[in-house]
Amino acid sequence: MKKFFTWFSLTILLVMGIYVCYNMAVITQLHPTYEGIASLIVKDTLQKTSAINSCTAIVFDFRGYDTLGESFVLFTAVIGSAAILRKYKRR
Amino acid sequence: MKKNIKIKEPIIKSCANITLPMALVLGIYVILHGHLSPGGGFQGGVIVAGAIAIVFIAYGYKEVFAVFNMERVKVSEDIGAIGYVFVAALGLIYGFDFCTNVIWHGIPGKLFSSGTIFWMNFAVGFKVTAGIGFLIIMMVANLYQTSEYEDEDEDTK
Repeated sequence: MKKFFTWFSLTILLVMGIYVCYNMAVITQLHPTYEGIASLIVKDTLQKTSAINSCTAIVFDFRGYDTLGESFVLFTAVIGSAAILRKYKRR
Repeated sequence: MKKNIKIKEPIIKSCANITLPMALVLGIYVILHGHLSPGGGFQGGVIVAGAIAIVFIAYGYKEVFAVFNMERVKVSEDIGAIGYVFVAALGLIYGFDFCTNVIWHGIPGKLFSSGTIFWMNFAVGFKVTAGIGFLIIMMVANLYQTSEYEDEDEDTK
């Protein structure tokens, strides 16, 4: 029974994979100029943020949550190393 | 270990006197011009925090502890993080989403343009400067502590 379920789920996965690959190939043929959020970010940076460096505009405006998480990663690293190297307080 | 710490060479000292203000000015320039030139808060903050390593290499650990106050550095990192969250929360006060650019944008190319991007950049630079500086000071303090313990062990033996 366990073997049957394994092969059954693998078959479903294979069929779905082929279906998704086929559709992804068809979509790019139907809409050759497909424009998503990437094109909007690249083209409208100067009008929306008026920052010349578009990389900073993306990091600090369009993806502000990402920078917040990065700064908290640094914060966590400092806290962890302060917990490990705590000898300085005995000085 | 002790010989490696006490470096008081005149050549290293004079080189550090030249490179220290240049490193500070370059780091602050990279932070403030993050939206105009390549760079940003993270890179400029790490450059400014490298000044602590220069002071340690040239003058030894005693000067590092005499110049930098550790508790104040630790508090200033928290101030940077809170400032970033506050500037990002201005969008909620004005009635938009979090991290929305709501302040006056200004003319592209000027220093005070681009609304909240400039202030977020400054807050992240402040925070990274304090964080990396705290890490370097803590490593120096740990080095000093281990050398002292080794000396005590040698004395007891």
